[in-house]
Amino acid sequence: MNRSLQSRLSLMLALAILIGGVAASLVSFYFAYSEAQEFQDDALRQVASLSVGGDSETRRFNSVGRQMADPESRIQIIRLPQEPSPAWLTTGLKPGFQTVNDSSGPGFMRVFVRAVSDGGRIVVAQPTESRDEIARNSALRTLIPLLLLLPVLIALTASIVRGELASVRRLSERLDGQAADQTQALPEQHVPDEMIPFVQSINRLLVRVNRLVSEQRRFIADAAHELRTPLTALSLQVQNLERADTEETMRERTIPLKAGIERARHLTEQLLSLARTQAGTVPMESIEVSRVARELIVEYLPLAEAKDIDLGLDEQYSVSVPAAPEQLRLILKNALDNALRYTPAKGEVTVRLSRDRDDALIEVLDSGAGIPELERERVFDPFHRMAGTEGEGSGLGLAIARDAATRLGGAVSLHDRREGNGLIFRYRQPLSIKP
Amino acid sequence: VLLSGREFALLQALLLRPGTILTRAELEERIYGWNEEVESNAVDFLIHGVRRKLGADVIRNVRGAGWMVEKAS
Repeated sequence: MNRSLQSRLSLMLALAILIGGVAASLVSFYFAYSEAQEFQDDALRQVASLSVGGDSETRRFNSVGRQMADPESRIQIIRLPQEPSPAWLTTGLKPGFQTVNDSSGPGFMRVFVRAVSDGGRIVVAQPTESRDEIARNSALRTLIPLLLLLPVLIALTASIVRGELASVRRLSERLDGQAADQTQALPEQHVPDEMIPFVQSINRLLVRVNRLVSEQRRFIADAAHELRTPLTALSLQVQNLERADTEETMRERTIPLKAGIERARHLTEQLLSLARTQAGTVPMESIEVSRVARELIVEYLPLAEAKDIDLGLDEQYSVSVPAAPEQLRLILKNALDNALRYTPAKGEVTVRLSRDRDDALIEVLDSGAGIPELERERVFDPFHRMAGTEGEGSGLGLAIARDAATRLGGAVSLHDRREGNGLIFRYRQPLSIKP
Repeated sequence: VLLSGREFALLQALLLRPGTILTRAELEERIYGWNEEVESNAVDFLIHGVRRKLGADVIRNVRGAGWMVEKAS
């Protein structure tokens, strides 16, 4: 089936016009035909009434003998009983119209019989063949204007439909002509009412796309800036290294160099994680969170040990959530990373799994300095760092965690610890739970 | 050094997956049979036994999570 609105509309309307036209033609033909027949019957009746008085006159017309024959209409006038009755004229014809069969002559005859005062009959007869032909011809003539009108109507409909749909075509041309990175809203003037909601939806989408594009632009600029800083430091340190004269100073100066390279590597890795989180949807499966937590705890044990931090798990409920494993790991990993980074030595970091009604709570509690209330939203922005912590992390960890959380249908937030000081990183997600 | 059957089963379970934390439930499942009653502190008792015989740092405890044998690096 053709899906073009224009050709479907044109086709349907043309069909409707055609069907209507044919029906109108049939009705009109029928009426015109029976009208012509009646008209000819009237003519026969009139001929009969004219023939009543003029016996001699008829004879004069009728020079051949008993019949008057008009070559065109071939109307026969017969007087009974003066003239011999033709074979087809069965006796006892009642006055009025009838149709009889003249098997020896031209076929069916239309006959009008009129009683005359002296007891005789006047018979006026005409072959039905010629009558029908006249009726048909005049009926057909009434169809001519209608048939001429049909193609005109169809052509007119097609061009009206095309004209009305031109606004849709203009809209799509406008959209096609836009550059992807600087879109403009479509105008709502000169658009049919039915199209306005559609145009508005597209405009709303364009606004979202624009916002996304500018966010991405800002992000790329920030990322480039962030990458440049450690690279500048690296090149300075390399210059320093070149100037070293003894092997010992050289070895000494490679230490900050190695740390710088490590920072740049970490930042690049985080950028890649963020890119991966943002790339499309991921298949979800039911994940036993405590298993993931234990794997990550093992991963971070060396770091915790180096700072003499007690890293542990507090599994209040065995939580299973529908999630994509990689995304869930990213959330927990970045939370742990931050907690260990900002908790002073001899502190404590705990992964706590619990539930709040129908939500799973996956939390990381630390014993660090915490984050002031006002800062708590902003630390989720990419590359935002709190005063006094410059250059420590990539500035992307929480942004990555929030992105991954949004993708899993959950939410991340930061809270004060009620007992003692420290921060709670909380990931909340609707769950399926095994108590 | 002589380990009891259950101490050996515990050590084996941990050594089969070095670098992985096994929970109390996972350890009990590997040490005890189907219908055996398990005392609530049975695993702690066995861990204590192994540490006493082989050294305290053989088995590592992670607070709240379970026990593991560290991966040789």
